[in-house]
Amino acid sequence: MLELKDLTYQVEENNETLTIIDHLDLTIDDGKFIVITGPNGGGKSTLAKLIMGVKELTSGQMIFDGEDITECSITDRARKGISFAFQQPVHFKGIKVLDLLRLATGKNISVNTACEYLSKVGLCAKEYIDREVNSSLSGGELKRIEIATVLARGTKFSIFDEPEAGIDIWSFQNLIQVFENIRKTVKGTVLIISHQERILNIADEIIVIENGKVKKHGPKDEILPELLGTADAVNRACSKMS
Amino acid sequence: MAQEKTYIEDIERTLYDIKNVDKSKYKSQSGLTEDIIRDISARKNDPEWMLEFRLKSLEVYNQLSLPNWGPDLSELNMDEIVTYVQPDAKMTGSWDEVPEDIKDTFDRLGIPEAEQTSLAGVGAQYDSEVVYHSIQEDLVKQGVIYTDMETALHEHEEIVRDHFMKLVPPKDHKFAALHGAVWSGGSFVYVPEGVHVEIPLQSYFRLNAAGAGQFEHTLIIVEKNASLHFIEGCSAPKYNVTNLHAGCVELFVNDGARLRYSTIENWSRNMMNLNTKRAVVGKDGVIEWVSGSFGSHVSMLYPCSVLKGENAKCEFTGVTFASKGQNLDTGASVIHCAPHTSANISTRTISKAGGKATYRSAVKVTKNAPYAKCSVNCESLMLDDISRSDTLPTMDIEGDEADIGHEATIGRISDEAIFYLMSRGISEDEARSMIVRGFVEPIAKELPLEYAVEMNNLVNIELEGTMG
Ligand SMILES: Nc1ncnc2c1ncn2[C@@H]1O[C@H](COP(=O)(O)OP(=O)(O)OP(=O)(O)O)[C@@H](O)[C@H]1O
Ligand SMILES: [Mg+2]
Repeated sequence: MLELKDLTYQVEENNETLTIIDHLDLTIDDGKFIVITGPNGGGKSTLAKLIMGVKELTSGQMIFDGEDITECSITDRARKGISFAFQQPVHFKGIKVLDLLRLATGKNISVNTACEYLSKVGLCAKEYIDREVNSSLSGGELKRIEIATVLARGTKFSIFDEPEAGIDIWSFQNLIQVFENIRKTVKGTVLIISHQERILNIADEIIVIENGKVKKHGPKDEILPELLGTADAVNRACSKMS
Repeated sequence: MAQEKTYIEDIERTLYDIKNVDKSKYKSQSGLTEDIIRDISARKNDPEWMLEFRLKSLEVYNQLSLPNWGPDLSELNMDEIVTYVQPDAKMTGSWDEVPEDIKDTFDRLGIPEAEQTSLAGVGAQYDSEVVYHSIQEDLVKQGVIYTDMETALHEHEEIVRDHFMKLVPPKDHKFAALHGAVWSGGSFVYVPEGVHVEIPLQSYFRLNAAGAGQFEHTLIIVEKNASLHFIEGCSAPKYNVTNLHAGCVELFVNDGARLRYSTIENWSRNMMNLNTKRAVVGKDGVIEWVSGSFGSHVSMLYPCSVLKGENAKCEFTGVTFASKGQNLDTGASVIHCAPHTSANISTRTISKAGGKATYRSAVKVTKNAPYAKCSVNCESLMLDDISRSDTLPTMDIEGDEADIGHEATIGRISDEAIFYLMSRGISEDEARSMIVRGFVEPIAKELPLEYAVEMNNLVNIELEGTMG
């Protein structure tokens, strides 16, 4: 279980204090498949980075499986079983896809095993395993490799930040499949940040983050119609205007 | 007036730092005088012309001044340097005959082991003299010669006389002149026409004595359509006095021949490394340099390739890592002297903890070299805000239709990249080291596996230095 208590994250910009995450409280139960959504700039990625420890809290407390991890380094959190697939994965010169997968599993896995992870995200593994994770890879390829590495880690708490971004429609189909499989097979908690209805659709719970706060949090069946209702209303309003 | 000196607190360099008790059989007096040179020459039983060459070089040395560019060399006081240290060992072809302390040193450096598994011949120099030399029998049968310079000077005097310091004349610069005067040890390789030496040869130069200089001379001749991979390794334990390394490497790559010259220099932080390397390449010939510069207090090293024959090629891959108190001034130069010659220079420099790494590339295309092609790619990585990396390219193009490209990038490791790797469960230091290893990967992959591993170890040793 992950408990976020009164989380606040502020940044200083031009002598002004911006509050990005604003006294946020949230409890995420084990084994759930949760999708976080909400408007652009609402604070979703920031929240994910705070959980991973990539950003430092201004105030608040985080309890993971009963242990206070507020002061833990990224490394410690990773070792305790938190994984994070970045919205924008980093490029590395001289580091190969295979190296990243080995790093993720923490083992010297065979090329075959590594290839299996890549196949899961729809990449023709043999072509990629020896590629460097540099700017020669397309955005979509990078995203899929990123997802594969988090799958390879197989930790009890995995966060995916907009995994569908930059992935073409055909592969998107497969991606949904991937997440449905995760949902069925993985015992841990999966937290996906997404704007996609198809992904929202396979959630157990949906959380809506807006202005750095939890706007809504509940079972999919309860939240999704509300969200779609709003979207429908917007669509209708727009079509009237034109 | 006593020279103010700054000695650099050295990092733990593990096996490289284990020093032996100085059991040298003979040491010349410190300093540089005609008497000292006559004495060295007599002890080495030089032919008359070599003594004259040495004395002439001394004259040139005295006439030349220190370079007016590059790192400050004022800490080097030649009066305090012992230029000749004769180990108490005879050159042998059997490790069993090498004195135990010296053999142990090379054992730790992994030389006899590499000899068994991946080398076709080995030369091992300790202080001023080569103590061990070997070459596989089948190469001897094919006419390959691999021996120490002293033996070559006596057994192949004509070849040596025709080539010795012809490519790097003593007049070249002050330390080339110094080398000409006091050179001792080094390796000689001769590969006859059409012979391919498939497995590398390696010479290792170990300087053990404090306050001493090492001036080994490497002369390699690869005849027409022949090929060779030569590996050079160097190291020394740390002392609180300045040591000097002023070696000289001359490579003759004839028409259609191919030579790969790989080096990992790993000196301690009390070393002034003022080294000269040059290759001349004939028609359709190829010189490939793989150069790793680690350690030393000050380094000046700019391997030069003279592309003399049509279609001659040069590939240069280098890495330089400067840390606290180090000023490593390295580079590469290429002189295009014939049509359709081409060169590819690719380098990585890393600086940390206040170290200064400079990469100079100099490309000259003479008017006899139309259609020359040269591409230079220098990348620098600064690991913190107090370190410096510079790349200084110079180009002098006279030939027509030249195709010259230069690319230089200077970067830092982003926090994001470190955080990213940490989120996979490794520590911040491991993350940093993984990024640096990735950065130097283009060089590592040019090295034979064992040496790539050694280079990665050196990268890690240098990186760990920051933590304390
Ligand atoms: N260091 C910073 N300085 C200034 N503003 C910041 C900083 N970090 C985040 N922000 C702002 O915080 C807000 C939340 O950003 P965040 O990336 O968390 O949004 P998001 O919900 O993930 O949006 P999206 O759906 O577009 O991915 C944005 O307005 C962003 O510009
Ligand atoms: Mg986001």
